[in-house]
Amino acid sequence: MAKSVTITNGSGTVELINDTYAVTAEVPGYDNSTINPDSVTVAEGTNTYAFTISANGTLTLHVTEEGTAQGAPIEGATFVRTDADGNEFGSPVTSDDQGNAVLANVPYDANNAPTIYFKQTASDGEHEFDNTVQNTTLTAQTATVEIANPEGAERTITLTDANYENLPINSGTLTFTN
Amino acid sequence: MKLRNVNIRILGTGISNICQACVSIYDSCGNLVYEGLTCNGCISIELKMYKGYIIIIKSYAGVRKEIFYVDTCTTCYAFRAYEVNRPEEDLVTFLLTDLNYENLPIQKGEIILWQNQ
Repeated sequence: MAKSVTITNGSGTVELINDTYAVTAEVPGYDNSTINPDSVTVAEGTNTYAFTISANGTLTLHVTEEGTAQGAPIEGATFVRTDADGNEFGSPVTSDDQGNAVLANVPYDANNAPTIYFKQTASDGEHEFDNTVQNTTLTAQTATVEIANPEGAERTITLTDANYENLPINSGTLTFTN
Repeated sequence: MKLRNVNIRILGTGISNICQACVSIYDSCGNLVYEGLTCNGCISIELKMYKGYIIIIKSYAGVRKEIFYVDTCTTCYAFRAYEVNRPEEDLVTFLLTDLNYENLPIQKGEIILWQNQ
């Protein structure tokens, strides 16, 4: 006899008698054979049981100034996987000299792939970036998303004498460190 | 139609394994043919042979409904007054997260539990 537990946002409940059960999974986008553990003993006094499952898709975030496949690559941009609310999960990944940052072991499915959320947490210090939560779905095992990190906007800096209002300083250097 | 005298015994869970009950017997057409209290857990009644009957047993254990058939061989019919105990089911919660992104909840899916037979 089999009982099915519907999982929504990480949890599901079902009425069960105390017994040992074999466990299988049907999770879109994930490798169902990786459900762990694959058996569970439901015992008196314990009413919560935790499982994990793994996916094997690869999402490449290609970071360039222009946000195109041919754009100037940005090295050192960091990203992290999140949920829809922006809570961070897993280790951050950083773009290499080709501008590629790789999120491994992400879910994919041709028809029913779950949404993958991520956000950029830093660029290389010389480019702007969007730090809001982004999302995509993978319909194939590998996919690339183009990310734009444009150059910083041109700013005008003025330097005047504190004791002679509006008297411009003839020459000098200001250094900005972030 | 030939009648047969049958004894009906109601079984309880006590030491003597009898149970006093109020018994109602209906024929297959829904007509009430007997209603009364047991004596020492038993009743004796004449019923038509080769006919099916519904017996409703009301006791301390609750209400039960059974069906029986009067044949040429059986003179005593025994019925439990109580439900056979079923294991209690508890509400159990299952958590499912991504192995490679610690604590990342799986958005949707099914876990199937296969009970050993």
